[in-house]
Amino acid sequence: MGRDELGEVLNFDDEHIVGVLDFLGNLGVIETIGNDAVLTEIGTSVANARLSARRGLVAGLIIQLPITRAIVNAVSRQPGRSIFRKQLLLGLGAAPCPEEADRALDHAVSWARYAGRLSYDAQTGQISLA
Amino acid sequence: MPASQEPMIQLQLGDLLPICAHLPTMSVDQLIGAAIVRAPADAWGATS
Repeated sequence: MGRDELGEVLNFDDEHIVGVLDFLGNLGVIETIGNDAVLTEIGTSVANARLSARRGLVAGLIIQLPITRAIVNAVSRQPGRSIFRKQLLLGLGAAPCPEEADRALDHAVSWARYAGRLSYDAQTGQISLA
Repeated sequence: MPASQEPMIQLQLGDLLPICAHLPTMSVDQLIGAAIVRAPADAWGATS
């Protein structure tokens, strides 16, 4: 099934289906073969798992993402094992594209929180090891 | 650039930005649910 058709079937618009496919591909949940995107073995397990088991599977995949590991490692190197969001954004090299970096960091931190590796205090802007 | 402002994980940002620029703002559970769990049977093939 092509990207456009897949977006239609899954109810994602043209813009979002690109990001969704990239994200799922990076997780290893799908792979692209020719023009088709198919579930991998682990993707099939995720699809068929009950909610709690599914969360465990997805968390395990998220932990393997290079960006998740890099952020968790960066936080773990800080005194007190926590870092302010602004400081981490600087560390991401955010200056050339601050809006995109801000959005990217939001996603990455939310993935790491999902995986139980980080916590985020929105009031203080502090990101800490969970 | 002062040492304290040197990018810690700049390489990964380049990999991440193209994905995040297009990802919908939804939780991981919502995204996986919509894309994988509740997907119509013919949406995805399965590898053996």
